[in-house]
Amino acid sequence: MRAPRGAGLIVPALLVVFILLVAPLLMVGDESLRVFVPGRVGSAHDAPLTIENYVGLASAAYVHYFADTFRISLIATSLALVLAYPIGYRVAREARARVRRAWIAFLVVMLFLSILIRVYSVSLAVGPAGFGRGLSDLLGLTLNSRSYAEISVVLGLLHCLVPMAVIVLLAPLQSLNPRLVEAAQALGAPRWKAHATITIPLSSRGLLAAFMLCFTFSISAFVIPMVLGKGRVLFVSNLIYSRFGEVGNYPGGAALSIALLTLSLIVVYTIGRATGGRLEHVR
Amino acid sequence: MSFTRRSFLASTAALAAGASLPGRAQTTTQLTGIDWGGPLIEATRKITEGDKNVDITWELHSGGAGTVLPKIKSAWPNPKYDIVAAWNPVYVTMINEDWLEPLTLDEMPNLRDIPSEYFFKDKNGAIVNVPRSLAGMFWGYRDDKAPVKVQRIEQLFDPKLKGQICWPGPSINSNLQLLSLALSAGGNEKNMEPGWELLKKLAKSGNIGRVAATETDFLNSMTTGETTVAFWNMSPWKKLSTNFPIKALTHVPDDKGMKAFMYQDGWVVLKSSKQKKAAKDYLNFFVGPEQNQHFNEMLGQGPTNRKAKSSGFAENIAFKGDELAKYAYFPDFTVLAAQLNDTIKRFETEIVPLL
Repeated sequence: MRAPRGAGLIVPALLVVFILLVAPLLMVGDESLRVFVPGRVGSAHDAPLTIENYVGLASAAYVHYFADTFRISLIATSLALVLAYPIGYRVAREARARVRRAWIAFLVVMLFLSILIRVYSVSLAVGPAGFGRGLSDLLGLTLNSRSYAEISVVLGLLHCLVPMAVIVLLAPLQSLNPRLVEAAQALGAPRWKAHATITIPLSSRGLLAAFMLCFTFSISAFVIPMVLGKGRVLFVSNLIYSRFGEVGNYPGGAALSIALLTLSLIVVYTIGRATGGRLEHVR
Repeated sequence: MSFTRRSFLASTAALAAGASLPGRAQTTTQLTGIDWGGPLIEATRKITEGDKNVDITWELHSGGAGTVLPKIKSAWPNPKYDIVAAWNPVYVTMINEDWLEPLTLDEMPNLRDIPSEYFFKDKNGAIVNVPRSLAGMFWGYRDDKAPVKVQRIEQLFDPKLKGQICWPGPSINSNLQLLSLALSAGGNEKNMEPGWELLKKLAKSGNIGRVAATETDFLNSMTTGETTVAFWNMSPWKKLSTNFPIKALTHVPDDKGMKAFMYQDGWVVLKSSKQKKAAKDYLNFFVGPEQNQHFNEMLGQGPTNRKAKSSGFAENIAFKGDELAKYAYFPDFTVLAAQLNDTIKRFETEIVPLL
């Protein structure tokens, strides 16, 4: 079988991907299987092979870190989609081009806002200097409790995820024919039912794309849990940073990285597989 | 006056010739250094203004000084830094990696005025650090806000302190905060178990409101009143003391754990530097009596140069006579540095779940 014409043109791009993505991953994989001697930075050149770095991750404490990372990411992603969908719909259906452009410009600016500015603004807002005391009283929590720290992390993630999700949803929502909803309503369907049976199913591919993007962003979030989690809520990425950045335990950090990458791929693949089949019927 | 093409060309040529004349830029050596942020880098910049022979590009440590180690390791033998600000446990790791340039008293005469106990030496016995500050880490609290006027370690467990303690993360301060608990319960650097037991009790009590990962976390938490009691080092305590009444617990009688944990921070020159001579000359200038005094006055830390005087916030650790034995503690950082990896894992698996 002959390769399609011009297939060779992809070789430079594949080479770059291999050098910048695959090769470093292979190096991380190799490092994760090396013995680490405390007090040194990384493994020695001739360090023997071991699976100890992975065995340690099977302890209950580390299983909890992985579970917390995925659970909090799932909550934040779901909330982001719930909040982003009506905003996206409103922007997509905006008849005045100038207003629509202003909305999109605002969302893009929000998207590019520095993560540090977001995190510290949320930190101040939900802390004792902001409306933290009122919010914690309202929720029946203490300001320094773990539950409140989790809520702060979710709010920090939402600050990043909502504009991201709205922008991803805009294209599928704009491509919907508004007459379908109008026709359903003209035939007697209530507005909510028209949206539930027409708008949402027809934009489900966009929802899935937004979900995947937000979920992977959340899982790998680092600064948000570091600052807003108050040391009580830690994501796996914080543990990875601690290994690589603070104690020079490259093998331990590499094992955590490979484990997180593998689990994330499994979760994303499973969700894609479970929902992808159903979406085939949505045209 | 008319402006012609000829006069334009002449003036442009004159400008170009002027710009190419040898000036100060050609005698100034470019260096790259890394220091802690906040008050430390501000003070470092002020001192550096006095040395016209170097032009230094500064980077900041992202958290503890230990975070620079992987950056150097990944770029070795060509890391971008000529000089690195570090302290006791980080010196130990750098010596193990054989990264540090030996320094001699002939090359850096101001080192003669620094007590020999402050020097770290490599495997060949050569000096490898330039001590710039004598400092301490200690417990303290905001006198205007703390619900308990802490004087002893056992008071940290008082229920009135619920959520009020800012506990440094396990990689911060070389975990001297844990040593403080261990000492109070009869342990030491080689036997930290009593400290771990007390820390578990403290975590369960709910009194730890924040585990601070950076100095910024500590400052924000204490400034906003989120927490009111903490264990941290001198320069951020001094910074807080400019806006709030701070009680530094450095002179607590009869408590084995409530000590001032002494250390020194300073500079090292990397073996990989292409500007070793300029780096050494600059650091020699930096620890001269006048500069050393001014630098430490700005930070509230103790000077290392015998000819410099200490003042202000540094009085908190200016121990006289038998006070040194009574209130100060000189930790064995070599032992602590070797434990750091296990300490972090233990903190993640045994303490964080209790918070």
